[in-house]
Amino acid sequence: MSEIVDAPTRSARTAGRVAAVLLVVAGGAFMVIHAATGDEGGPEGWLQHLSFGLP
Amino acid sequence: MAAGVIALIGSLAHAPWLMVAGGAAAVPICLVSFVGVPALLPAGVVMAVGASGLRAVSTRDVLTAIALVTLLVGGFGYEVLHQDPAQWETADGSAGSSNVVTTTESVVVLGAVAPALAVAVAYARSFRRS
Repeated sequence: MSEIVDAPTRSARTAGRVAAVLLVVAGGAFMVIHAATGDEGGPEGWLQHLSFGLP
Repeated sequence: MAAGVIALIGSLAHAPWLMVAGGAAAVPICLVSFVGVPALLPAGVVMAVGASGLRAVSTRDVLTAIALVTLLVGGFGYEVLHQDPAQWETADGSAGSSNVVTTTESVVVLGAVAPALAVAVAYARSFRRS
């Protein structure tokens, strides 16, 4: 079991939380960019764009 | 996105190992495209913050991290590395790509992300109780 001994300082926790949110935003950006740069008339649709940024 | 959600769950639940696992899963995903390179910074931050809160690492922690990273990186890797060339007609003629994302690949990714999030939530809940 992991134990929190020297719990991160409040600023470190905030930084970690902000960084996690940025990762979520980056995933959304991946989706948008994949959709925007996709080939027009190509076989890729919203499901493909979604799955590209989802992980 | 799911890697960030897992790191966020770890942050909110004060489960630092989830932050480490989320960040670790994000790194190879970010490296697939230059577009993702800037996201390496927040990935490094969540890993560093998570690692700073750890003392002991149990077998359950390691197995959880392996499962999360395998599901996210494995699903995304399959989507990116599996070659699916395609050609289609356009108004000006025809176009093609050496590798498109297929519906099957998308379903594989969705099928990998859903259990990864479920594992992260279950881990966070059990972490809070212990």
